[in-house]
Amino acid sequence: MSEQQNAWLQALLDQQKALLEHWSSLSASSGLNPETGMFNPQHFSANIQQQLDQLASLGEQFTQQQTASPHQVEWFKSALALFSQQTLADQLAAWKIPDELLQALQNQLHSQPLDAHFQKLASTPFFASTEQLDWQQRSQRGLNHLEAYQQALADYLEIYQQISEQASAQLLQQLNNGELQIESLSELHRHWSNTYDAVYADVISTPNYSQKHGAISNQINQLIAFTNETRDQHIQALGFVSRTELDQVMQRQHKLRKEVRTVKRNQASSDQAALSGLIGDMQATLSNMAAEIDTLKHEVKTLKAALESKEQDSERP
Amino acid sequence: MSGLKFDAELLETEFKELYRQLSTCADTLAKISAVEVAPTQSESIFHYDKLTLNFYPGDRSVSERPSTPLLICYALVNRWYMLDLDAGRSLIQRLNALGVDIYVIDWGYPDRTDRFTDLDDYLNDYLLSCVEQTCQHAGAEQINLLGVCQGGTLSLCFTALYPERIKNLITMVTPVDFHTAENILSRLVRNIDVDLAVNTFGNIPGSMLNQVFRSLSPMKLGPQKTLDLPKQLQTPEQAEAFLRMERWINDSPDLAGSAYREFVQWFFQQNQLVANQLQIGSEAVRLADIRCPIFNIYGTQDHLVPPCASKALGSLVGTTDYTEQAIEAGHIGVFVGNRARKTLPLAISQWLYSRD
Repeated sequence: MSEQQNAWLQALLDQQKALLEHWSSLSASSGLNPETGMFNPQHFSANIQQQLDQLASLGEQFTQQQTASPHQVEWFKSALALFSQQTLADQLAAWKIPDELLQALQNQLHSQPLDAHFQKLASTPFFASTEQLDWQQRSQRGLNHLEAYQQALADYLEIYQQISEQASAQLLQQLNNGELQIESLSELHRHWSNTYDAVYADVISTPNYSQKHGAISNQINQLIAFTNETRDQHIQALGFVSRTELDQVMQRQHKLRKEVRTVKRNQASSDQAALSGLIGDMQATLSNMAAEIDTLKHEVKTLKAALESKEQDSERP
Repeated sequence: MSGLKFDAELLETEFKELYRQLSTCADTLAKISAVEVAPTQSESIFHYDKLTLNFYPGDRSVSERPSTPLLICYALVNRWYMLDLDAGRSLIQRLNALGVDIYVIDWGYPDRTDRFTDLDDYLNDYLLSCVEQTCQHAGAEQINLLGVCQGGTLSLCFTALYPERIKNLITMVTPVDFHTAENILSRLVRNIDVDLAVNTFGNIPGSMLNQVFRSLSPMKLGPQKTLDLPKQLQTPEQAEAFLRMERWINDSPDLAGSAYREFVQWFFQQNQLVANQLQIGSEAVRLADIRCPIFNIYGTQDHLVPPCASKALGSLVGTTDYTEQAIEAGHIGVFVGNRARKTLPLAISQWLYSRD
């Protein structure tokens, strides 16, 4: 790398540093509040910094090796490896046991000093107390869950590894065939993203992926459930209301609420039915009355006619 | 390696441009204090537990306007204001301008007390109450119902259960057949132990669902999005539009545990709606019982609800008046995309008016 190239790269990195400091200050001065689900400048700043570092490092490598074609192939492969590594790290972050959960698990598994237990077991190997046995069984279950999680994670990682390899191979082939013309590092990254997502979309449609995805999700949930359960036991032992007990109360409440709703709806519909019946009766009465009125009118008319005819008769000489 | 067309000079130019964009983007964001969503004026006419029913009156001066009120039932995932994101991107505002009276259900944010709220509650209590309130407020015997995404699936169930209440039904980006080949979301949840998830978390955190949606395009919605961002946030208008969408994406309520369990197991895993096996509350839900006119709108590039998952509806319902409209857009583009914004509100209002 020439001194001149070194200088521009250094200048760029300095500029990048200054920019990212500007970004960091933005999160303090801006009215954007990440708590309300808004964009988080600090989070964005950290992410973009990572990516710009990555691109700058690739740029540096490229300018050092740009002369010969075999070097370009090597550089291209190392660029894809870097992207791949980054992608894998991002994907993994979603399936990592949260630190606080790991801490809780450790606390639970070591809630009683191991040494003391081993000493007790060593001195009385055939007669352990119920409490010790419970603790042993719980610890064993916790360890089993952890092992199952690790296995599921390893299986899952293998799939991601395959996706990365497949995406890299595809991109390399396209570039070698002349199907791709890449004019910038950003463009290279975009092609990588598109290819990766396309391969990923094919893979996640397979039953194998669905199975591995189910396994890792379920194993993480098992670990959280195990931690909750142990925490519940401790809370209960202290005489506080546990999560399970609270759930039971709420389930009963929910059932009662449903019953009340059904009663109210039935009441409303029976009121409605009663009202409809009443209206029907009234309508029938009204229609009967109308008929009676018609009859009466008819009778009145007949009587009136008869009366008139009688009057006419009496007036005749 | 003939495809690599850059050199040190081009790289220098590229980095300088990237930094320029990043700098402008920072300056633009520094000027924005907050972004508002849901700009259309409304009146809250009903509150029940966490839900609110909002009324958006249509323009009375429009001569050819449907007289039957339109009730919008949004999904339990994310928030209803995707339909009223900003003045330029508001399906509600445009429908109002075409004279349509609209009622929108805001489901609110379920909390621990909603852990056991199930689909029976959502349909036979919450949605039914909203339909009754809408009728009462509008002085109408029936309503037009518009369901969005999962809200569309719920609307189909409701219409099958209470056919006499619904005059016309509109479904937008609505999954019906959950087992079509392209339904990636359905494949992802196929092997999830839903009982374990609900027993572990109680309500399912909205952030967890967001992570699932993001995982469908990990690069596009992850590192590539970050890298593209400075270029997209050069002006305050661009930045505000982006921030509104971000706010909507991240504003995802937790899902009531029992309702989530039932929806995933019955619809995603067992496809009961299509298999004619669904029962909600004490009643069987049969799509063949839907005999009112249906307008089914789907996005041709929808990766969350693929077109075939929506189009399956046509052959399953009992109505003879079934209309389909494809929009060249993705799941969200159907509501905020340029093409959809121009054509869809008019298509909806005309379809309703001709069946009023």
